Amino acid sequence: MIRLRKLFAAALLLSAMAHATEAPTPEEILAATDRVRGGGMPGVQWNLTITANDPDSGTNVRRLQVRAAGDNSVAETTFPARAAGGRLLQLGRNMWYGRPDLQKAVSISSRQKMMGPAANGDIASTNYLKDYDARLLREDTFEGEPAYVLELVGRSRFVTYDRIIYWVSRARLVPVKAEFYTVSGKLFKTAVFETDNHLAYDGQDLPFVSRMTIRDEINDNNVSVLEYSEIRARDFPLDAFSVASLTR
Amino acid sequence: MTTLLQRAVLSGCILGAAVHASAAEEGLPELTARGQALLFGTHLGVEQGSFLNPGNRLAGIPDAEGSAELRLDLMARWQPCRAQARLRGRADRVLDATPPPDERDSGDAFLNAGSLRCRIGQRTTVLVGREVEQWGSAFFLSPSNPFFFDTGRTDPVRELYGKDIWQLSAYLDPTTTLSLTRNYRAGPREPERTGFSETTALRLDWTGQAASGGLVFARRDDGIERLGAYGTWTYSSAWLFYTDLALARGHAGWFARPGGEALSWHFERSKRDRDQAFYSVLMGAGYTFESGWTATAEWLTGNEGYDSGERSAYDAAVEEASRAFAAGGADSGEAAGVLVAGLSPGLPYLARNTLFLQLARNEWNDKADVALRWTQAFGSGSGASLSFSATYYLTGHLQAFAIGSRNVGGVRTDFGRLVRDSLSLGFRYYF
Repeated sequence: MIRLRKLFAAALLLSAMAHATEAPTPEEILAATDRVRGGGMPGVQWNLTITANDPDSGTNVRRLQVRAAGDNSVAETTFPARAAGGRLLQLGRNMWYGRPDLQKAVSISSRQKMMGPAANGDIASTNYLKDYDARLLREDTFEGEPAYVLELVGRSRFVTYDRIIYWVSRARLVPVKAEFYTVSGKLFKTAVFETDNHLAYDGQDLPFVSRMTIRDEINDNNVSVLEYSEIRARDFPLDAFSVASLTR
Repeated sequence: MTTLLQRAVLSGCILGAAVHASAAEEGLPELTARGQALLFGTHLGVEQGSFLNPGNRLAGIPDAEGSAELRLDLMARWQPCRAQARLRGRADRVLDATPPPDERDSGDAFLNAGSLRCRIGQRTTVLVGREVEQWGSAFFLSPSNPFFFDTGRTDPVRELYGKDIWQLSAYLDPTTTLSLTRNYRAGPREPERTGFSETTALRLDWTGQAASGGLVFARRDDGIERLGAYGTWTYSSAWLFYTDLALARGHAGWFARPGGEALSWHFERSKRDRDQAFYSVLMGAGYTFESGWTATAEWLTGNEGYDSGERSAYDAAVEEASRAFAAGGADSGEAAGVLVAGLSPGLPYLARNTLFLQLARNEWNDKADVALRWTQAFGSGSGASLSFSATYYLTGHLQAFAIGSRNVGGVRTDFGRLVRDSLSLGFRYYF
């Protein structure tokens, strides 16, 4: 945990450096934006409400509580009742799904959707810095705000999205928009971010994502809204991210 | 160490855990209650030519049954401890049974699982109670598990019965856990209580960046030892590979042997004390398509099932006992004993080679879970079973489900021995 705190402090320093200079590196930008989405934090918890509008299945609402520390996270469903208690555990690249009434946790791949409408990669904390090679494409504006535009290319076979074009606010170093592409280069999702939440950590007031609106570009009517609330820094015991705890 | 002493040490640990609660962890107890109410009907197509269950007079399997079940899961968390209880109540009405046609009611209420678990500092936990202790990625069987071969993962409604255990776990670092588990009493609803032996298991769990696994050494008090291993490799966002295996010394199963009091055959645990090695290896792979469907294949091989000679002896013993039981008379009591041993021979599997295939989809359009399974046994007693399960989400609280199976093969095969087909239809309400 101490090592994780040092890494996190280094990320904050990089973030500060990025503010101080005119052109932070793409990696520095990613480190800052990951933190805004819970990635690489020593210990953070938030509540997530996912509202999915799909022409095939109507409107579905799912509520989760997410706990994350470094590469590890566990997302527990609290609503609806039929899925309550279901937990998605991610330890590094390994993923398990468990529910108290299943009695045995299931190893799953990141492609398997076990938590409702959103992809597993959208629910857990974001670690783009670890998963993607980044390069600065250009500078642009998004809704009038100057933004860096990064191209992220998956560097492993584990990533949820193969290629991402990522708009990051120049002034605030927070994500504002993303386009997600398939291997064939086809745009299949876009996301718009709002970062009105705050996380009190180590005496600092850090921005944190408050809303992520994901639109399916293949089917325009398919929209998922992820709303984040009650964000707080926490220390978790070592057994907080154990497979055995998934079914108990 | 005696059982009494072990429990005294455990009680001391729990008290110690309560004393060591840090101020940061102290707070009001958090209570959680969740429940399910199930209402379902089941049809079982009884194999009329069964040798093990002649004329359905031994097992008395109902043709049709209506069931209502209440499952209440209670949890209280008061750091550093957590208590849970899974209470079950069930009422069944047998609508028809042959022979003779009959109607009868039955009911049951019990604690399927319940435990008290306390954390001692940041790195150690102690648990005592009734649990279903599972690990690994296997669907079909888990050879490394000395407590539960059955994974309970091929039926979305049926639950495994918990076993009474205590467990000490040490979280050595974020990736490694060492646990000592003692199964000190047979679960009250274990089907094979006569074969129960207290068991102690030492397990090491490890999780890497894209792989996880563990080693388990278990020793039953009757002397049978088992070294198990399991592991899963997350190859990509779509592929998983896994294994679950065990090497054992001694065998707790029943084997047919010539010579009985009135019959030519009887069953005995002839390999329990033998210094003979047994093994079981399960290899599995799962692939998830872009569409979300996941295909799973598992291959189980080993020598813990009967070889061809043992299988022939088993079949001969059962067929002779079946004829004696059907004829009635003085030998029917002994014959019934042979048939009961034949029904539950204490083997993790009968056929030595089995292929398990599954195609499944969860949260299909946020409306349904579907799974189709094919299990094929090879060699002596080969046969197959096709099964499916489907759950449809009617509302956020209510689901409808259907579970069915069709067994393929003759009455001497693993799957065709008792039931030809089955179908359950019902509703599950979550609250």
